[in-house]
Amino acid sequence: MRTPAMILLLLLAGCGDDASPPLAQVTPAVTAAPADELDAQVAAEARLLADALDLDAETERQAALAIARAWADVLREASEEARDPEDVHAAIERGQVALDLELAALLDPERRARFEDLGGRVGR
Amino acid sequence: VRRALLLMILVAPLAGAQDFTGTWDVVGTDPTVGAYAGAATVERAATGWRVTRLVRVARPLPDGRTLALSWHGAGQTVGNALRVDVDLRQQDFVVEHAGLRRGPQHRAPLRVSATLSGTLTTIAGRFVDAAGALVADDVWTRTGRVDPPSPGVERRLDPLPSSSPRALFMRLFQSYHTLPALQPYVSRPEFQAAVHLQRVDTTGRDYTRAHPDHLLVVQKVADDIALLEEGLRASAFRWRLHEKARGWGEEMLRDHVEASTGMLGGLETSARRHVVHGDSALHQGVWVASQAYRFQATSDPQALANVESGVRALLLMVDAPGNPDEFARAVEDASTAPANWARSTAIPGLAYLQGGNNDMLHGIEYGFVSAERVLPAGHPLLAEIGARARSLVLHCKVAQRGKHTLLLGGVATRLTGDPAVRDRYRKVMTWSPLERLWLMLGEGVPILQEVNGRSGPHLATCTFAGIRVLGGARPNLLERSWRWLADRGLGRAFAAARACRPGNLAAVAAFAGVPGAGDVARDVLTELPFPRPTGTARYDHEIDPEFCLSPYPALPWKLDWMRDPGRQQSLISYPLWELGESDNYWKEGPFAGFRGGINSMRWSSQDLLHAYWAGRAAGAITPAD
Repeated sequence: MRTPAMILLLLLAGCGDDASPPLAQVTPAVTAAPADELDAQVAAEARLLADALDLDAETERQAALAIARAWADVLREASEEARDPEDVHAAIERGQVALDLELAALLDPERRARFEDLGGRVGR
Repeated sequence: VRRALLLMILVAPLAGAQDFTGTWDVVGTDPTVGAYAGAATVERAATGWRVTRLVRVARPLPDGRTLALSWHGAGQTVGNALRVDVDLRQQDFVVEHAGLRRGPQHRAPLRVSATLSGTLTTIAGRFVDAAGALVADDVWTRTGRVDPPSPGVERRLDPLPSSSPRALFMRLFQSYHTLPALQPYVSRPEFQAAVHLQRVDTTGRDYTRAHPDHLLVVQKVADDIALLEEGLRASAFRWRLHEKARGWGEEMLRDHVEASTGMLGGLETSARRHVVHGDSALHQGVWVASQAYRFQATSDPQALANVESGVRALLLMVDAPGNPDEFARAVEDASTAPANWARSTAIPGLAYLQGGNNDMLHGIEYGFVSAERVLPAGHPLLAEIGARARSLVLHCKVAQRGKHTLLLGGVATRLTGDPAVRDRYRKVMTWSPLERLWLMLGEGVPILQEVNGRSGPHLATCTFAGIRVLGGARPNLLERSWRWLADRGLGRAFAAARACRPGNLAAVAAFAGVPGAGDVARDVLTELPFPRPTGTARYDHEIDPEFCLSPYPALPWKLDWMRDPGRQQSLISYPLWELGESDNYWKEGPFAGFRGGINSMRWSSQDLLHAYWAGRAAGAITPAD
């Protein structure tokens, strides 16, 4: 929180805590998106990963939570930085790396290799 | 007794003439514009009469058009005469032109009045202002016709749904509200309510469409400033959309496409000098896309030729720096380019503007994606497009971010088959969940619309348009899923921004079948001027009685609202013909730019052609529109 504008925009994007992101609270305020639709898309992304890596149901659930958390982080960071498209995309890029690392930690070595082949970043 | 009887006979018709209802032919003279003729209508009102008058001036305007003057007024019966009071606006949005300048004396409308009297069939009177100066000298003759009322002012303010938190913003910008420029507005209820508004102005639209050779002035004193203002309006309303598109397109080839490079530029009309804009890479890609849509809609070979010419400039922008890490913002023949542009060592004789960035890359990739869609298989430019797209993805940092890799990588993969770029494309396409969420939610268009300007939404529109054709002619399942998300995002973006009339976004959203998008695209294109305005004038909507500054500064994350007056913005978004000239109308507004100028620079019309041809290709605009 470096400036009044950033304080404001942080407030808009959520509280900034590290709990599981309450998407229903966070995203509608920023994007006017119905939370159920967003949650469905998050689940679809996790399903995409689960299908590609043959994940069990519990790992798929954790992946969905990780994606949801990463999305909330992106919103917070993007709002904190600016609405300039370059900054938003930089926030998405950073969020994606953090998400990939979190997901990689859930995977066994064989799936981690497949995840990397899929496009996931498994190490810094 | 005989005299009394005679008097009764004479007066009897006049006693009945107190019913002025009906249509009257009008002839007269105006000390400024000369003789005129037309018609007036009189209807009963709750108190008195509702009077309208439309006359056409006999002396043509310098461009050959007929000046038509229309007003609505209030009538009262005074004795056996009809007294008419008319309030004519003395200011609208232009504050300086042709040696005239608007000032405090123009704030109030000019009240002109006449007492028309005579017989049952003919009445006459002189319209004078409060000082007694003659404004018009009318003779009205009753007719048997029933004319509709003449055109009147048709304006409304549509409220925008709020996308910013009012209470929080009002607290945050308390210091901003102390600036002297804000003081006239802070106490106004609309300022405190912070509901932003879109002005929709259809004054004279139907009349001007029916009489494209007339210049209609409604409820205004018809001085040179008013003629300019109404000329701008008429330049929007007098043409059908296809006529505007033809005009903009002809201008492009005649004045804006530089033959040796294919590069777009503005025309400095006084010296007829070609001026390349610093954002040309973006404009160039939009131009190529516009012509690809045109080819899709019409199969016109000229459209394909324009795609080819436009693509060549995009290729030059990638090649000019001679360094695969970079690309240019614009290129120009070195003999005419500004001295401070770099001279290309890779392409002798070419100069280029350095600093290709995210925004400019949107143009290059959009142009490439669009050209790939319409160039026939085996066309030599396809290999060149593929090679440049590949080079950008593999070497240029900005092309490796965001959705650039997705769009450029797809083109490069299909056109080169290169395994390195194919691998990058596959990975980005397969695993980018956060980018996909951002896309589905509208690429940022719905967020904080009161303060975020339109440059971002314009770039987002390019992104939507590119991704909704991801995969080219044979998209796989994943590519189709990206397309689906783009269409969802388009729907969300359009729904959020609709009230503020995002014409270009609407045209692209029409591809996705977004409800209402085609209507908005058509309406907004109706408001765009042809030709684009040039001349000498200054406009400032602050003279509009309804004007109010927004309580929020534009782009607050720039953190300069206390020192940069350019961050001040209006609570009202004005029609596009009132916003002067722009190198890209779709980045203008909705609330910034309430003051500015018109000068001798006329920019190229790729922006307007893009919305038109996208709308045509999407089926939202018909060839007859």
